[in-house]
Amino acid sequence: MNIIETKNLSYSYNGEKAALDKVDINIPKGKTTAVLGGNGAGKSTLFLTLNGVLTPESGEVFFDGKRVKYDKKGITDMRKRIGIVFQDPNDQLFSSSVRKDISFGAMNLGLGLDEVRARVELAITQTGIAEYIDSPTHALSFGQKKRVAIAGVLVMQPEVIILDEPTAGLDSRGASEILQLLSEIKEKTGITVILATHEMDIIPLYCDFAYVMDHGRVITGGAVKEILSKPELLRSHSLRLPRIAHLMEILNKEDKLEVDMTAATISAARAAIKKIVSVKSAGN
Amino acid sequence: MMLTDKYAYSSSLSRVSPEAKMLFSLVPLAICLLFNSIALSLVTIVIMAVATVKFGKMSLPTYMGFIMVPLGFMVIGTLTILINRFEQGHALLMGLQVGQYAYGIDAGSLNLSLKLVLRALGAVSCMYFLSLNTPLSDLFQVLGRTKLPQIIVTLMELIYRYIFVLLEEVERMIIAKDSRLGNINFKTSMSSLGEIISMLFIRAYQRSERIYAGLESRGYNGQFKTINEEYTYSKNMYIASVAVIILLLSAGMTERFFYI
Repeated sequence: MNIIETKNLSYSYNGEKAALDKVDINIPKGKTTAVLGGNGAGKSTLFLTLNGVLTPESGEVFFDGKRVKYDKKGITDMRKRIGIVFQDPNDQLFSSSVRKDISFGAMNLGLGLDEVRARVELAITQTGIAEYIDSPTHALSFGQKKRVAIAGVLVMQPEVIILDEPTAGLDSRGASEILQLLSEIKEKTGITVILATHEMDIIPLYCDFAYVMDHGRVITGGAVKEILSKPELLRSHSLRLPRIAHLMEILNKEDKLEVDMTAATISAARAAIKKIVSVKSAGN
Repeated sequence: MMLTDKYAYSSSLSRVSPEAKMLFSLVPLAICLLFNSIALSLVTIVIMAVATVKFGKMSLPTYMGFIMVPLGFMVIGTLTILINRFEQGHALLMGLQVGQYAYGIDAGSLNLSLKLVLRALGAVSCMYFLSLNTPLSDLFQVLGRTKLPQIIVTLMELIYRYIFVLLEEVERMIIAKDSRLGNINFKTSMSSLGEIISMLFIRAYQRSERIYAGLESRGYNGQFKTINEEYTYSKNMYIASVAVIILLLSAGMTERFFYI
């Protein structure tokens, strides 16, 4: 079941070269979908279109099977259901009080004060930011600001959360913490997650589906395993395989070891290597 | 992070209602200025110091450091009032005879300058109490409830928030400039300063567009509606404010009607 579908979606900034060129994507409900692509691939433009900040020039967007109308009501409705976390949290956090900033989206939904407060507290626990809730925004670290930005979107309780480069600017620990957090939230709330990234190593770990974009066009899309089985295609669009998958590819092609090439995570690779070792020793 | 700002957030009184703290500091400020008396100024200084150090849990040396900043200016500024030229034979407390005039301090000038320094210091202490114990975002919340146009309060809030973002950006640009010898001589440093300033305008503009997109995606409709912060045990602060105001008024009255 797809929560978002786009058909022939096109957009261009000032009528110049198309930033989105006949984009067709399907986002399955309750899953994590990655949109892969180098800089200028059109990921951010796609997200801003899905949030109604930009209006597509042609094509259609379907949310939950219904066609989205890009009028005031349609856009408001879409924003209620699709939240975006921007790459730089400084672009998103406008208040020097963390709690006030988080409450902003919920207040704009026109909810009652008690409901807003309850939701703010829930978002604070979900993102684990209680520790620095009373600090001013400017005293927080980049990773902490990122969490606050996520809380500010979760408070609106959207059905879909879009994250633009969620791991950019974070150290490896901070990056895996954020992704872990998203997985937990997804499990608990059933929210659909879309993330833009070019960090290939996180794809097999945290994503179910992936789309590859380049120059505003969708190159390919499907289940993560399927995408990772097309290394040449990825490479021709300034992407690469995850490191582990690359290793498995080399073992398979160069060393003629019969390992499973689609093993892209440490645990999958370990299992695959153990398997051929045990086959060999059984043969001896 | 700016200095007073940091202390305001770490103060033990930071969660007390900002209205109560404004009452506690602004009314004594007005009383201190209106009465212009030595005793009353001293009482104000002591009360505000005790409130900030004892109840706000700021260390005394830090507080004294803050007090020293304006004190230095005041002492230098008051010197010209303190030391005067007098006719010969004037009753001086301290002085020097130069030619047909005497230069020095007499009872009147001493009294006047002491009054001036203490009154200014009293007023400054009141402002310090407010700014060292009240995070700025709380003051915005109070201002938001007054008759002040919302747009002005909102602008203040946004400016305050983005001062820090711009500062970070400037710092990074200055480091980038220095690392490439952008300040090797006066001419180069002037031209790179110009570059930084113009770049900052461009960056601020670009950022403002991204911020607007960020606000829109969260349903911004022209108004910055957020929940209000909640505060604790403010009743005591109101009681303390009333007590201090009564104390100051009675001290002022006593001095005015019985002493002078």
